Amino acid sequence: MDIVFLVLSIFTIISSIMVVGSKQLVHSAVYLAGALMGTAGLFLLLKAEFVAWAQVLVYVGAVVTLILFTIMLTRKGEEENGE
Amino acid sequence: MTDLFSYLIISAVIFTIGAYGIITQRSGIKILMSIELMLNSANLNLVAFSSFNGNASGQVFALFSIAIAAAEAAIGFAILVALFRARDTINLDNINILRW
Amino acid sequence: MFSDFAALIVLLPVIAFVLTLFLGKKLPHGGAYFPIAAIACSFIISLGIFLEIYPNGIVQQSWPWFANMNIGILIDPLAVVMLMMVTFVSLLIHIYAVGYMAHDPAKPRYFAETSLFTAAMLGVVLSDNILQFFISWELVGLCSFLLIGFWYHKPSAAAAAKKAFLVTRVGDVLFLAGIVLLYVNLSNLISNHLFTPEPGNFILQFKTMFEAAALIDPTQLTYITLLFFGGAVGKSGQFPLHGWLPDAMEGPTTVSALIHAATMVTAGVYLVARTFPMFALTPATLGEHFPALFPAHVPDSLLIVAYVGGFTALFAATMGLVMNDIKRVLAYSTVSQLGYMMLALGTAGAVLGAKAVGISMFHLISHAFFKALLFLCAGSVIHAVGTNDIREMGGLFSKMKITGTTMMIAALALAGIGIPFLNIGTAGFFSKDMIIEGTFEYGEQTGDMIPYAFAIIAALLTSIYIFRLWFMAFTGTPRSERHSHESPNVMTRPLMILAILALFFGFTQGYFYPYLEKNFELMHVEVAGHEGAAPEIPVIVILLPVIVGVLGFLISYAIYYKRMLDMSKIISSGNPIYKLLLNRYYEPKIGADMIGVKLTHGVVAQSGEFVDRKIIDGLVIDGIIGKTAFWLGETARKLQTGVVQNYASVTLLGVGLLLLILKLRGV
Repeated sequence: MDIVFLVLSIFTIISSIMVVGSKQLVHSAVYLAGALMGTAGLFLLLKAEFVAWAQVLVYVGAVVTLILFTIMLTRKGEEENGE
Repeated sequence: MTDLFSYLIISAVIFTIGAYGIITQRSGIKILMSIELMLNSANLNLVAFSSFNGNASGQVFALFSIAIAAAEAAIGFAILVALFRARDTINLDNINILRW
Repeated sequence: MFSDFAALIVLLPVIAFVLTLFLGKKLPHGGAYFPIAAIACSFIISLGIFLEIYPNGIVQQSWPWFANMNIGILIDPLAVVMLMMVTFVSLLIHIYAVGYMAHDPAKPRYFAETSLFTAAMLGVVLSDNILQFFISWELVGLCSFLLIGFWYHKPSAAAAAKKAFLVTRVGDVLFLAGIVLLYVNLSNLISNHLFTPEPGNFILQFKTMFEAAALIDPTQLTYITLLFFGGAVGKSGQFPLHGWLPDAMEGPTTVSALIHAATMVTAGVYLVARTFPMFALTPATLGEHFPALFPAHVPDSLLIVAYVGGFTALFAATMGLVMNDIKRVLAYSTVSQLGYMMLALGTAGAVLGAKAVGISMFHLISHAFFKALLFLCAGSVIHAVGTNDIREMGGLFSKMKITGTTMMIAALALAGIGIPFLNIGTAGFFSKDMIIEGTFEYGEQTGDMIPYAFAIIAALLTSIYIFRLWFMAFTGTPRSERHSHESPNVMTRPLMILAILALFFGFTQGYFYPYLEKNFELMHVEVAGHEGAAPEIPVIVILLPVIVGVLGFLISYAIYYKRMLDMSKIISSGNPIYKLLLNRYYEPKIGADMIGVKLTHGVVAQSGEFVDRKIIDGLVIDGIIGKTAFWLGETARKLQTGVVQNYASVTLLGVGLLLLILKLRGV
């Protein structure tokens, strides 16, 4: 139990750091999906199955897709910004 | 079984990462992603408390929060797209119409 | 059954106002049918209520409004006769206006405004409390302003509207001050437990006012009633606030007939009649302190009402003698007749008590009929000839038989011609006779014959000026080549109806006086009156009003028809009296130039400007206060960077600090 929790939490925190730290917007989005999945795993550990599946459906399924579309639509601006 | 405290620690860490992202990032998309992270950490908090206290209302709250976060994300990104069309940039440094 | 619909009397013309304003342009006659139908319905309801409550009923409806105020309806004899008069005259004038205003492009506005005016006037009449009375009163003033300035592109009309508004405003402010003073007194009485209104009664209702009037400090009561009278002076064009009424003739003639002759200007008289029990309760201090000047035992306020009214009656009649504008003559005549009504309230009120209300109201109603008729005839003449100047008219009778005849009837009524002892005569004969007899009785009982003298001399002058007008307009040789013609039916029919009323209304006096006398009894209010034994009225007193009326007729006949006297010597700019009268006692000069320009603008406004610009602005804007605020603002605006992240950082910092503080304090 503890090991699963430890792995999940480390995965989530690292993904979160990478969301902010990654230079590429698309990478950020993928890391965000990872962090959200990790949180969903933590929800499962907390025996909150419904919230976990809702999290996967809504966040990973919808919100991340939305983010990817936005990135795609504002591509030019992103490139211009450089870093 | 892990105790409540470790969940709260993780939640706080994710929240802080999100807050840091909001303050440091310049790209609108990144900021919105950071906001999602912060919301997520709040959800984790709610669910953890609900699970350890044996009270389902925290989970219900978390579901609400997920739904609202989805709506907020849709609106936020729509605004960004519209802003991009109007200003050709989503760099928030250049968008300072609120300025004196 | 009709009394259940009492509120509709006011609401229907309001609805007509809205409909005419918005739909009038698309409808024939500028949507005139709405107000006509609405006012006809109001008239029918009023008539129904009258038949229902005659002779002993009153209608009272009241709803709470805010705090301790209410809105309500009170229809007592006083109100119901006014209601019928206002709706009826207004109805006829609206019908007449369809013809008179036929060529005016702004008809919808005209009919909407007159409809609103009618509603406001009915609101005044129906009110059961002084606050609602005041609100309607102001609305009436507003409509009057709008309608005097109806042809606002004419500078003289715009100026007249402004003058009317400003002059009546003086009265309105006094009236409002009176209401405030009354409210303060009443609430003091209530909070000191000296007086408790009956459950369901509200503080400013007339009922409550009358009940508490006897408890109010007499000096305060004198102030209150005199302030009310100040409002009445403004609205009814009494001296010294009479100047606006003749100028108000710049509006369409129908407006003059409706507002400045028949209805609105009588609101002042109605106010005094309505609050008459309070006037009658005022102490008689003037007679006590100045026995040489004033009669004893006459309530102060009534004495002042009598003198102002009597003086106005005479004063305005003298100016009526020399005016050359047909409507101006009638306007001064109106001022003078309103003076008569006030005179009746004052003098007869002092000796006969509540009877005075009946006497005054009877003259008010009959005056409304014949003065509306006179104005409508004048309108018909103006419509035909195209000028207001009676010097350019003449010989119109052969062309305008109906107008000429009806105007003669109105003139006879105004002069008060009739046959004494047989009780046959025009409306004015009965009503004016009663007033003059009232002043005579007052003189007999108090030894103060001045009001009687005012009344008799004014009656003579009235007769002279009105027949002068008639002879100059309708007889002699035409003095202009204009092709004049009789007016269309829609205009002459109302003339005939009003003429019939002007002739025969007087015969209702046997019912009218007892009915109105009961007015305050029905409201359970005692009216103080020195009900001495009625003195035997000498025959000469009964005959004199008619004699002076006929005398005036003969004088005018001799001068203006037979041309027995050469007037050109008298009417020359060299004659100081003529000059004084023609210049209206220099009232416009004194009012506008001295008070308006020199005093108000020159002294008050200039010094106000100095204080505001130099002292207050100097201190606030250029001084230390302004500078500091300006600097603070300049500095603080730098904080608004417009970058959202800055705001977010500050927010987070704040939350963190808050948490830290809470933690340190151990919460």
